Amino acid sequence: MTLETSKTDALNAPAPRRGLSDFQIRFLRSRNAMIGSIIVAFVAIVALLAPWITPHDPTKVSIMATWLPPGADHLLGTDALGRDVLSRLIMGARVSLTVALSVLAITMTFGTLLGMVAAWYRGHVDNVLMRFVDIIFAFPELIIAIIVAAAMGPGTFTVIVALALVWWPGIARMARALVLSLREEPFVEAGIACGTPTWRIMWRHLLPNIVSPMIVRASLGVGMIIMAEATMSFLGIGVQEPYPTWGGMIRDGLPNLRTDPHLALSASVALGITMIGFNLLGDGLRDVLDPKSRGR
Amino acid sequence: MKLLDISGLSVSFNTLRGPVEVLQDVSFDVMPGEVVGVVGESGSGKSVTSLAIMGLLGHSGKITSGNIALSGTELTTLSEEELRALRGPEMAMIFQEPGTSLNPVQRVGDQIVEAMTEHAFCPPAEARRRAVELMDRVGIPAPDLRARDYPHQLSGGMKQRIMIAIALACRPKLLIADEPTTALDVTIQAQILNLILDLKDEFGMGVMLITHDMGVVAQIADRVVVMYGGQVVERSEGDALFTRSAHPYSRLLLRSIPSASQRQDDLPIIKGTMPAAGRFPDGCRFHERCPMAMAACALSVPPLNEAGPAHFARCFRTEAIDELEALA
Amino acid sequence: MTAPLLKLENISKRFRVGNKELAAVNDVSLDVAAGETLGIVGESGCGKSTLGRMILRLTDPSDGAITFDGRDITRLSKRAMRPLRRDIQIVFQDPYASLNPRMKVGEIVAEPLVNIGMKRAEIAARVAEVLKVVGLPAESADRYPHAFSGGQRQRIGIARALAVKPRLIVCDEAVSALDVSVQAQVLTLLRDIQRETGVTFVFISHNLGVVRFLCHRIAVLYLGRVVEIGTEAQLFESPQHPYTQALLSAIPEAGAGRRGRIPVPSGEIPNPINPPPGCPFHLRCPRVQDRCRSEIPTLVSDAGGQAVACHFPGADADSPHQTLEDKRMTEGEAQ
Repeated sequence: MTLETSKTDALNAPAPRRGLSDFQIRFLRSRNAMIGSIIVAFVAIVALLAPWITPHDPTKVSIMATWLPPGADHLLGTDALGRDVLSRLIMGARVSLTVALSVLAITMTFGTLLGMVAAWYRGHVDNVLMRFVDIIFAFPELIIAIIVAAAMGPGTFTVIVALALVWWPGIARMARALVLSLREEPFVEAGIACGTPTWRIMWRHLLPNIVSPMIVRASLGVGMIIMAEATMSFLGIGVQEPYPTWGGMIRDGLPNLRTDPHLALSASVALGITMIGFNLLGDGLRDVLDPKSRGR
Repeated sequence: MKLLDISGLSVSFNTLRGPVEVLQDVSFDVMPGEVVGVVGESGSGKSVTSLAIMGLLGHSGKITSGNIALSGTELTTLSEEELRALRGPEMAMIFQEPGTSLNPVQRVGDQIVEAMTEHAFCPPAEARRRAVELMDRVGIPAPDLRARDYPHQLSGGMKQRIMIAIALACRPKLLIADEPTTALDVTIQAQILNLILDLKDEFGMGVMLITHDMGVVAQIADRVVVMYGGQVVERSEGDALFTRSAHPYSRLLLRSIPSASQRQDDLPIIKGTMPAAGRFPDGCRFHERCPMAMAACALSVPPLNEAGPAHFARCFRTEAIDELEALA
Repeated sequence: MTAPLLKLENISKRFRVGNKELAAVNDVSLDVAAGETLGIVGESGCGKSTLGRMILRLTDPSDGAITFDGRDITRLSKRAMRPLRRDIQIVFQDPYASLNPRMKVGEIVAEPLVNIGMKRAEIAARVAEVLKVVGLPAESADRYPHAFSGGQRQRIGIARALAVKPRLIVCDEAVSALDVSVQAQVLTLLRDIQRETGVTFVFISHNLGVVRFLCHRIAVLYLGRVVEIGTEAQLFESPQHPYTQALLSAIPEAGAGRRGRIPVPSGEIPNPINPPPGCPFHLRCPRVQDRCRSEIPTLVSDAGGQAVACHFPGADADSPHQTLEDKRMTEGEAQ
């Protein structure tokens, strides 16, 4: 028998798939992913369009209109300085998301890189990096944030630096764990066996295969980062006046919670809904990307 | 009386893209004290058949038609509760991966005991004594010591022996063995197959042996069922299937197994692969790969035609089967 | 005889397991001639996969030397090894795990070509060429592995190995995960590729039938040692080692006319962390004598080149198989 006959087993190329992919079908059927993405999209659009959709100037002080209850002119009332709460809420979304996405971008880049390097080279590299991670984990995150704020002075940039500093070790640990199990996969060994340089193995074989669990982790993390940012602003070491932040609004409204609950409550509700949105999206994505983990 | 009687069984699974029929009109039976081998390649539906019998199809699988009778009891209409009562004393199952079917944090002896006490088969004290007896019976050396081991302390062959002990704990009338030796080395496989034969004779139970390995079936099965694409395509007694198989698929498949006992210059090639469930062609599900196919094969599903005494093949051209040699 | 393409001399590989040492491969010496297929068979834990990985330098031998085409590659650095990678390729067992799910088939097959610095236009042509050789349509290059069946994926793995025109391909259980009908297709493909290109195969498998079909010479491993080596005819027609004989008789085979219980040595394969003293097989051996319990037999060749590591080699004359066979026959008569 010649080579020709062994090829007559007529292997047809699989037919191109029409319509929606499995990912899309699962996504559309996942209630968590759908509700989560709607909430997140809403918050993101509001934040993006904030300068154009605020009914009033969020920083404009008006001594004549302090502590106004919700009404026709000010839908959510005004605060102690007579600033429009709704406008501040909308601008606050912008601050929260900017901080969260900046922190994510920084930590995902460095955390993933360091985690991959630790898992790939193991030995001393791994030991040094992971002991460093352990040290950061050993400190309560707020302490680190306060130290950074004390050193750099409060402000948006400080919040980003402080949160990035406490956030990257978790990302690095996760990337390391994922790469440790991936590096034993035959397709990675096949790469080594055919002479692929290390950087290309990381870029082509490892990174693309850890992206989806990392995205899940990232979307679950956004809610936590927004919360941490609010905590820092609440404590006064975060984003400073006159920029509106949800944490700052809660702090300002808290003393008057009994008489004028609209200020603290509206910011709390906005914070809560946003966190729920990101968590639902993260949970949904995990179900969609890894159907095996779905508990029923 | 028939121990297990499956007739006209069809099963569907719900998938992302709607229901897919994975078994179609499957019929065969198992008598007490015999080994019935169910062979097929992956996707043939052989494992789904066993899950349907055990009532383990899960929430996405559904029996759409047909009957399964175990010692005269119809299983398809039983509740989950009633089925659970039958698993153990009436029917039991062993799986391909003995490692994953055992509880990793429970001593193996306790797992055998539990199989008995769960069904109130016997009092706990007696169950413990019987567990050690069973372990001895399935060929585990120093059973009283080994009973205190956790699964990870045992080899694959020993784990499969434990699984068999658990399955036999309540003396089932039907043992379903789904690829019981596929994960094992060839010498260990031989030991386990011998053990199953010994236990079958001793307990007089019926054995349904599911495997992809024609050799295993040829070695120990009294009757053989060949499955392809969710259907039974051939059914025979004893050696008939291996000496004069009447379906082109079985015949080609048998000849495409590389043999260690004689040198082959060429292996016959069955072109293509088995289509996935839901993508079967009209008519005979094998016709696109069949060298003997004719126009009629694409039009209607052939019935199980008689090819000899107690020998049936789902093929229009069973009588002309010997032409296959010239074509393949 | 010309110099072998691949030569393993006294190769050993030891792993640390806890505070013990596990000898996965023990003092193995093998020659592989250009253009032949050497089969390496054995049961789990016999070290056959570790041996394959050492040939690829995916893991380093603890002792011994590996010579490829007259050049000692045992201690070559990663960088020095890289140019040699195009001569030695591997096909893995698992058709699912061995292809990166995030790369298109064309990229997978092109990977070794990129590594040798081939130009982009030439790569595309070569990818199309090897896909054709393994019987896949050229359009496959634009699709991801998940769109293909197990057998088709294994063809992609073979195409990747073939792309750089290697001189040696190690097949590690390359057809074991495939269904019988697909296995026959892939085996035939491998054999035809060898006939066309003259490539050398080291074919690692636990399946003796598959090995007999494809291999010219076969080495049988047990607990990290070669217990018997010979040509296909020698090993299957007149096996001399009791372990080889046990392996052969334990295979259930359709059409062999055997039914019922299978003659097989009792006992388990010993744990390689605690290998028995003396001959590794003596605990299960029907011919065991005192000498076997203390003295490790060395591999001794006969005039025909068949080598056996056994103190009492010989045909299957008074093995337990016969006695079991007899027992079965008497049982049969009784019924």
